Amino acid sequence: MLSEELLIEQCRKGKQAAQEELYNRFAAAMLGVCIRYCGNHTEAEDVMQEGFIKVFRNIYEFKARNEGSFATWIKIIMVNTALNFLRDKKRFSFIEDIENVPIYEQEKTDLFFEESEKYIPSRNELVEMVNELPEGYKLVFNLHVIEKYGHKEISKMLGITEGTSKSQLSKARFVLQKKVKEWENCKKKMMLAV
Amino acid sequence: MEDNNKIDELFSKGIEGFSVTPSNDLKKKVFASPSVIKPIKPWYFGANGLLIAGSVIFISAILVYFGINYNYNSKNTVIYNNTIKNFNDSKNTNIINPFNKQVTQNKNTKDLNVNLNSENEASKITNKKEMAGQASHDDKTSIERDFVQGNIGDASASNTLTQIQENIDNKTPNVSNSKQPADNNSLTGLNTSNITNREKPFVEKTQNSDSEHNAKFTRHAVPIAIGIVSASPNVKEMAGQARHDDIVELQCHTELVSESAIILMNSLFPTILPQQYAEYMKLISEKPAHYKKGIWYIEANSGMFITNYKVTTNNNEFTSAKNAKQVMLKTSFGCEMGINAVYQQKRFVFKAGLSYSNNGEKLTGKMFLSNPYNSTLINYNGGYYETIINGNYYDIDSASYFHYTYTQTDHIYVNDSVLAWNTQNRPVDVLDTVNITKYDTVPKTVLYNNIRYVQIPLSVGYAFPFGRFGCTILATVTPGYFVKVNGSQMSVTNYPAIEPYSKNTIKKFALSAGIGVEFNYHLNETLIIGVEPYFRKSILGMYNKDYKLNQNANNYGFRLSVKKLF
Repeated sequence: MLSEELLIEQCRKGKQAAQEELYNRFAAAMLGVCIRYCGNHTEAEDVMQEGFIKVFRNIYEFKARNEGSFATWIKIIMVNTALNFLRDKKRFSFIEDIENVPIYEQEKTDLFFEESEKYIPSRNELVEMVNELPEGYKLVFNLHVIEKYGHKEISKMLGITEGTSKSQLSKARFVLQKKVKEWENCKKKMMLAV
Repeated sequence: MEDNNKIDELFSKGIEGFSVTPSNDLKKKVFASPSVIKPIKPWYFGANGLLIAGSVIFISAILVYFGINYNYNSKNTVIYNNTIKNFNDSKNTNIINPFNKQVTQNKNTKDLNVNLNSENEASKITNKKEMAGQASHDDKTSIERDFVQGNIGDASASNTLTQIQENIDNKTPNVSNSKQPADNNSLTGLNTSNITNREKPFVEKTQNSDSEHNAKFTRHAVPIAIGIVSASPNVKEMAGQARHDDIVELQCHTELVSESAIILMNSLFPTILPQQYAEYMKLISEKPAHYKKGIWYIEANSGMFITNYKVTTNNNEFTSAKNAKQVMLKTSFGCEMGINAVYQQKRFVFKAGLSYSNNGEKLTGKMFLSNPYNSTLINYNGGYYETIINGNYYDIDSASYFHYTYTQTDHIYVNDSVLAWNTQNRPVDVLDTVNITKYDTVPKTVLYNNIRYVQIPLSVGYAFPFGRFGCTILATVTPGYFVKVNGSQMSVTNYPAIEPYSKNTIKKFALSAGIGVEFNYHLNETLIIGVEPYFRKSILGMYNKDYKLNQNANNYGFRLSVKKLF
């Protein structure tokens, strides 16, 4: 098995075997990233295809920029490609309805998280919950919580204000909290039934 | 806030490492056309980078060359004198140059050049001027003594010059210590073998007009006076201040007017006219004998050019393909390098040589990177669908929509699950935005191709010399032999899909013709640099008939060249 450095070097020479090896290593993880943004498997595949072509064509840029690990670099490309895809599809919609913003602090829950160790949704279920979020919520939540971007960076990436980014995140959290709670209740009922 | 962190942690940890195994079809799609996902090398890795680096080195070398000459000229008069002497010796000109005597003397004393370090030059020149103005005695030996011992303010300069004088004295004790009339032997001893025949009349005149020892010391003093003259244009004033009516000195002034002018010119424009080549200007303008008979140069050149392509076809069936490619083709960069043998007789110039040319071909457009005919499933609502509308090719399947066109005038849409189209003058659009990829969302793809030729450029020209500068109008015919091609070409059968460039697509032989104007500059009598803007047009098309399309190139570029006489 080739080391990552060697693999990158071979890809720079345009060797197809190395490109395929690189694809095999990262495709599954990157398709996961694309699905989180696109929400749709077919679209995610299109985005990933485009993303990998960008990776192969711009692989010289990686050395020049020297930015973190190679996996991180590929992930950034995938995220940007997905964002461009969504932008082109005009699927950036950020609901700015202030009145509907929940007062998150008042939504104290007794059950939620207290026994969370017993009832933790699976990975796929969590992704599904995120994908069910409205587009704006989903994007900001993914970028902030999963990709660890700050609100300032998110505002630049999505062309929104920092305030919008924060409010979208807050709403996303609220909706997800609700979903997790519902899921817990459902799980409890099932357990009781058993 | 705590809940915020909890939910963030739940999702970030839970989703971390989420992966989905992609289908094999996706991999096939990605690698359907591996030749077109070649890494884009940074510009400095390619031939253009090499060319730019070469040009920078070339220009730097020229600048350094002139920079050295500038320092050379401005710092060291003695070296200058040597240079002039050597130059004049090599040219066998008939100019009587008393500088040479100083040079000869310097050579005899050996240490003189060594002692004249650059730090002392400025003060020496100043003092020379002062001393010339203050020269009031008849004896040139006294002038020399004043120069060495009396009027030098700078201690270091004084020391140096005293040392020089001592060195001279050591070598010629009969001259400087006793002021005895010099005999012919001592004179010969000073001159050694470096005094050329053309200098003898000057010496003889000196001897006839004055005493022997005056003649002797004139040969010491004149260089100092020349040094003064060379540093200041005020020749007459200095001559007037010298009280004696020394014929030798007057003669010196007369003989040195042209030399002084050259020196003055050099001090004012050192980079424009390096003084050791000043004589050569005359040489060029006077058209020396070998120029008239015919001269040979060897020339090395490198150049870069931009190319505009024109696509043609003889078959109406491929007009749309032709139009599609013409829109895709952008102005491209290319480069070349070569060597030429150049023969020049009078004003006529003939060139022949060998060059290697790299023609860039840039294609830009919204295109899918795979050949649509390689797709295995082309279905719409369970049924196969494929069509060409006015030459534009469309594929539809249940998941995506492909539109291979670049000049869109047709509108294709889905209405009640029925595919329909009509012609409209606006970009393609579809109603089903979820399952159909819109053409206008396809990113632009840029492809760079390289087509390489070995060429035999044959040129005829007419030269217009202007001293060291010159220009030559050149007409060139360039037969070429195709060597290599890299990149992608447009498939004419499945256009405008892309497929790897085939060697068979391109004609083995190429022919182009062009004109250019070469501006050149003589660095010295054997070395010429030049820059030639040119225009070149391919006469034969680039492609074989089998390819259906043909392509002609118009090149606009420039060459940098170095020519050496041999």
